Amino acid sequence: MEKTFRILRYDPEKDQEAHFQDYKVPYEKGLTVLEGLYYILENLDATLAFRSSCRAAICGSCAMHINGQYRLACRTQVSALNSDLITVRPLSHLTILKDLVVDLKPFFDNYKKIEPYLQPEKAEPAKEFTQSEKERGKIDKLVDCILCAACYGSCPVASTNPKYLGPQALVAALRFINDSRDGKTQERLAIVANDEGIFRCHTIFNCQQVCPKDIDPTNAILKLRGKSFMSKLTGKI
Amino acid sequence: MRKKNQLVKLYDDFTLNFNTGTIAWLLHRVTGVLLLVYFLMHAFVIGSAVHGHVNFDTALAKVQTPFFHILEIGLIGVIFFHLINGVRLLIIDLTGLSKAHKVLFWIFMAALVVFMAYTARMILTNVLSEAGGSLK
Repeated sequence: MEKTFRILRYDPEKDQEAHFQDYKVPYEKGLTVLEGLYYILENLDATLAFRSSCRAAICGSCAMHINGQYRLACRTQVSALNSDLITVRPLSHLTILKDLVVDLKPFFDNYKKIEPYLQPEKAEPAKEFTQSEKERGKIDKLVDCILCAACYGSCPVASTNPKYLGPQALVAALRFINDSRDGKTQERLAIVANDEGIFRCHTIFNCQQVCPKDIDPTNAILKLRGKSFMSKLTGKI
Repeated sequence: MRKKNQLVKLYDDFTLNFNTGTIAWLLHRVTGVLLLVYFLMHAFVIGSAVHGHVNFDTALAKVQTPFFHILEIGLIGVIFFHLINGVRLLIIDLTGLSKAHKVLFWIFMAALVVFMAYTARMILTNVLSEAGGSLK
């Protein structure tokens, strides 16, 4: 049995516009979309470009639009798509460099804006900062983000305003705000509580729908709104 | 590659993320624009009163026709959708029930259908009785 992979191709050196190209890939039980792409690369067309690394949904390299939704190609079983036609496109809202490879610079630039590293206020302990189970629980789901940019690609607001921090950066902001070891809560809230941060979100829920790690960025944004509201009210930001 | 304009980008986003959240968001936008158009017309009709009651009566008579009464069914639908979707977003915003957004959407859409069936029947009955007919 064969499956047809319909892939959006674009070579900036040759093509004026992106176009779809079909490939027939032999199907066997357990075939993932990423394995299908590797089959094409190794057997049918060596010019196909895509990103991947771990093949285990850890690195976040292979996020792309597959049959109606942004997904990780490595963890998407072809059988689960219930279709003989697998349509693959690159992430939206980012410039296509070649085929399925996009320029992630705007995504990472937004991520850098929220200063994604611990900034403790207390003096550094001799050995390490300790966290109770309860404190760790507050960042449990949030630390799972693998920066795949599926949420950014799915968010229509990111399309209308590239300066919008985007779901991923806002999840990361809440991750550090909730972290008991971090001491820059108000400074972080000041970074996100503006019209290029939490107030630009239109609560469309696409980010929640597509997150391969089942993080709920919309909920993170709602929590940040609540926290920034209280901080504004008490004059902290 | 040619740069896409904003409308094409929005169309792409809509087709690539065809789910309840996107549908609700797009309908909220469209109904918002329609409401703006309606409010401009409404202000024009009501504003005619500043030129005297004759002008006001003339302007009002133009929209008191069966055609406009039937359009009112659509207007009420637009208002009701914009209203209940706004309430849905407020509920989610204030309670953090983000995972319940699809359930809330379908509950509110069911309420919209029931409300619109009742509204359409009421308006059509009035329009027909004015024209000398009946729904029965």
